[in-house]
Amino acid sequence: MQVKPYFTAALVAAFLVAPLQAETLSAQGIMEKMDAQQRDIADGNLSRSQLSTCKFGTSNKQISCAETPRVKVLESVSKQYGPNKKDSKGISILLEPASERGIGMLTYNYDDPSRDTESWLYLSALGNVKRMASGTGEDREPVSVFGSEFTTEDMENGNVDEYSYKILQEGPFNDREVWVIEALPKPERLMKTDYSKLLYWVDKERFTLLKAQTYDKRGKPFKQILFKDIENLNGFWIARDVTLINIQSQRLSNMKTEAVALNVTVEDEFLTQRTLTDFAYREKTLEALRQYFQ
Amino acid sequence: MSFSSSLNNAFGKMPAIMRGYRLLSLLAVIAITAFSITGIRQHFTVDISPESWFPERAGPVEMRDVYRRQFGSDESVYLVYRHKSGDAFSAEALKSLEKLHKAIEQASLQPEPNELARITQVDSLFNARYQIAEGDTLIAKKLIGADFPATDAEREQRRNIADSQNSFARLFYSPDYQYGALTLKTNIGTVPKFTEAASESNADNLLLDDGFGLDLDTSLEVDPNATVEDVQFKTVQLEEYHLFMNELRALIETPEYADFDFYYVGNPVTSDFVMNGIIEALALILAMVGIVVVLLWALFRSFSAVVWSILIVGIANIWALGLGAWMGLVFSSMLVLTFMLTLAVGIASCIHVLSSYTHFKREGESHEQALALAYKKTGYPILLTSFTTMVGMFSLTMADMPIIIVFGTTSALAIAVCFVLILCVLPILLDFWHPHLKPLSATNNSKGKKPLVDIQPLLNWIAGYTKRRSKAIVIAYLGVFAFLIIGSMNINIDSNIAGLARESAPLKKAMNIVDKEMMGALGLEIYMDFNQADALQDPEVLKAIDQMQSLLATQYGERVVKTLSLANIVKDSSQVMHGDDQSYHLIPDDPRLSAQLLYMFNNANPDDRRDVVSDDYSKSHITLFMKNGGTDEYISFFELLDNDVETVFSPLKTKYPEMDVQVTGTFHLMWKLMDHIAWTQFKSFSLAFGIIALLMMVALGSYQAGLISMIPNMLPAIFTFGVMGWLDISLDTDTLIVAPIIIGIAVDDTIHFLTHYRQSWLEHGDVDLAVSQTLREVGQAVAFTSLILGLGFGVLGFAGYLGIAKPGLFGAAAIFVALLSDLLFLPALMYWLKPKLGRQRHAKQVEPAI
Repeated sequence: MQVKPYFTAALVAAFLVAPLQAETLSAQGIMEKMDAQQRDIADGNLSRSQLSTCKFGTSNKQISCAETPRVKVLESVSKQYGPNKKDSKGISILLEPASERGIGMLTYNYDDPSRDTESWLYLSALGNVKRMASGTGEDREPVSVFGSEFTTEDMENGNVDEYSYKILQEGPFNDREVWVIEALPKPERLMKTDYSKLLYWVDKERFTLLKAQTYDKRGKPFKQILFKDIENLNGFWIARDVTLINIQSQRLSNMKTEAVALNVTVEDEFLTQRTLTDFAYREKTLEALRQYFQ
Repeated sequence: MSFSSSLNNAFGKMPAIMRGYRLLSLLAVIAITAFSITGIRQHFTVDISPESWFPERAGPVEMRDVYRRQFGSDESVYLVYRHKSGDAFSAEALKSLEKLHKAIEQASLQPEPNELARITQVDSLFNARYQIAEGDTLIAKKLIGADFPATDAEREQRRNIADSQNSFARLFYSPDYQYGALTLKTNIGTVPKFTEAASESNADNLLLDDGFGLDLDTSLEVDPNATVEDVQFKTVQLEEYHLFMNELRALIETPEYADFDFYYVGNPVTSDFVMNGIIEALALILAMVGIVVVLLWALFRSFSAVVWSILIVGIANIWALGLGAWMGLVFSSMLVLTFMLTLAVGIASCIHVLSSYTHFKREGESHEQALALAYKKTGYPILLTSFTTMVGMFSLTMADMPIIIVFGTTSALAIAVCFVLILCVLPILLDFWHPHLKPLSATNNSKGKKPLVDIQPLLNWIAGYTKRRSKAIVIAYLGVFAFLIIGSMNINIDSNIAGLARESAPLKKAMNIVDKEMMGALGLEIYMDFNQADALQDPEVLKAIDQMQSLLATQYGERVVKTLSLANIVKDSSQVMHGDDQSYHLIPDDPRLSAQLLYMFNNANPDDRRDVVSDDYSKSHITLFMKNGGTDEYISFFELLDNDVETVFSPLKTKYPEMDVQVTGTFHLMWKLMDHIAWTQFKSFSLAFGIIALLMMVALGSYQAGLISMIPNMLPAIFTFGVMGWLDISLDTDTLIVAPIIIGIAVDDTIHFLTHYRQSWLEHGDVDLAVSQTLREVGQAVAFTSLILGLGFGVLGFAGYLGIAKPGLFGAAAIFVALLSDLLFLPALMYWLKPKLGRQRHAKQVEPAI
């Protein structure tokens, strides 16, 4: 059970406004640039998100929840480390529902493939921290993010080299100029992914994702991710409303970023096990950071 | 003139009448056949899925589909292996397992059309995830995975880890480590009929296409008025199981895995076995036709007897099928039985006509006269046998199963057509081409062929013998009858899939091994819907589930090998989170803690979680791994289980008033179905017997004759059931489906004998004359039909599928018992009792005419 600590930042897929010369970029180049920018966003990031999941129904091709969604609210803090800021540390604390309040997850990710991801789980009802070990390499299958339809794979970055990219199409999409980029996992990736193919709709001007589609190992449609409410915050374009529609399980998850603070200073001490168990310390630190919420 | 005499005369005139409409009749036959063939080509549909036995939206199927919509298919192949090293944890065994596991996974991912794409998940020691605590570290890893144990010590460590996991033993390996197993989960029965989303994706138009044909207008808006259509699943035909299993075997049974012995169980395997039985039955029916052809030729020394008989039966089937197709009937594997029945009844009737015709020809009558006499003698009994068989078949339409209703209707229709063709078309055909046998008073120069077998001398001897020993024969018969009645009282109705396979059959071996060494060959589900979100996080609910499992283990340990549920997960997680302390292997009292332990499970893998509990934690299930057993044992177990479920869960009703807990699953469905079919057939069979007895009283014009006829009529059935009872062989579903048909055929000859005897007795009032005349004129036909049909059904005894073999053998025996009854018992009874059979009434009717 590993959850990327910076998933919110990665998920909202924010990009620098700084214009890029599109014609000079290959598909690989576009994706690398996006990846780097996501790491920038995740560096010193606090967010409060609402994660809702429901079974959906369709009527005239319109999707709506067919049941009352299961709602979780969580706060997450992340920070990048290492020479190219390719390592990361992150912590997520559940605020809702009441039965899961206080559950915390601390994760350290390393760019060096020889280093295992480290994570710790805190169950508030039990009051102790457990280090989690769940194998490496191909044994590390994508797992759910807080029980939603999002998996760790949907949140990951830093794996650009593990895919082959190709621009399939360019042109207007929902009034925005986009590239449609196809990503095919390379053999080393194939062992640890749920997907045989991914498609990205990348806004050429803002360099935000407008949509993504994934296909399962048999090549069948699997998930569709829609990015909405895209706002410019401190120079970053951020989608505050992201919905993942799982065609196969007929369930969707929606992540609303209720509040986000970018480029805040996060003490290293905060990204340790102490934050999981020490409620007073955690609240005091978070309170100080929350003033930057937007 | 009595009614029967009038009918006889009318039938006697039929050949001459039809001769006048020869061309018209043949054109009509061709036209109706063409119409029927068109119907077959355009509208013929076959459904051989197990669900086709149930009426549409039947309760048990709906319940299983509710389960499947929530938790996916419950149909898996359980692939047990034994490595030649004799240790599932040996380095070679684990290496081979890794190769096999990956090969199956890879094969399942190949693009469609790919039968193995039905496999959705492969579970084995290779990828089994364990969870243990080491100090403050919670380890949740694959037992083997990418981290293959390099040394013996490491392998032993993995063995110890596996042993420490409550759910591993018997599921992945046998307690003595000799056997291992892979579970191949499939999507069988859960493929939606139509997927709007998947079908409308437009990959060529990425800028225009809004995703997979879906649009999200307002996020997470719950429309309270929106009705969500339940996904309807495509039915799975037996043939599809067959193709799937063939592909799987082709992948596995290669020299690459020669160090493994494989044993397959699971519903796909059983369904494949049944499908093979059907294919085998088709082949055996061809063999049956072959025997009929050879014997018909041998007995009548003319291919005309062969060609016309087979043609009549063939056309009857085409008409019945064509008409059924035009009516929109959906046929099933029981069509094979319709063919068998039509073949048997049709051929028997043809033999009676042909035998009578050749008899009169041999006595020196002209072709026209012999034909007229043959129809006069046999027309009425053929009408009676056809009618009683049709009544028997129509009695099946009272069943509540569409397959049986269609079978009854089609068969009755085919028999009716057969009768019409024999009455109207056979005389015309025989005018064209007919058998030539040497006359009885033949000289060497006489035209015609000598019969290969001439049983007339034997029949004459029988007439004398039955007269001399009438009392001894009747008493001996009644003694045997009584003995067999006692035996038949011991018979029980019990269907068991393993019972349908011979001892040497792979399925039987596999089931025995899985029952003995692994987790049992059958699976059952207790489906729980509390109709309230988060109910399954409530410690009270989890404790009830745990209590149910304990009860199953203590009270039904002989049948229930293992149970798995959400309670196991909570208990295991509780232990692991408490430093692997065994004393914490329990459901915590704190609802927050149970919720958080479940949160942990969900976070690890929601797909695994969804296999066990619904998203809102309102629905879950207990999986029971069971040993194989028959319906007799399990139907009563299901009743006990229903009571236990009620007892254990009813205290929760105050908290969860809308809760619903039910036993379900494919095994539950199929066993209940088999039991239901067996009892339905048993009841239909009894009903048909009653109706036929009444019919016989009316048809034979006397209560006495009707009652007397029921003794030989019942003998084949009593014999079959009595022998089965004494030999402790259960009546199973297949036997009960086929038995009435065969016994129905067996009694047809009794009808021929009795109507013939009564006619002669009414005419002459002389038992001697009536018996000898009947034996002479009908005895041969009775012997021929019994020989042909007895041997024909006997061929089925070679079937590997005992569902066909058993009724085949018992059917053949029943036919020969009926023959003996007709040739020995009935004449002896007539000699001894000299029943009046309504002769006085007949004499009064005839007198005024004189």
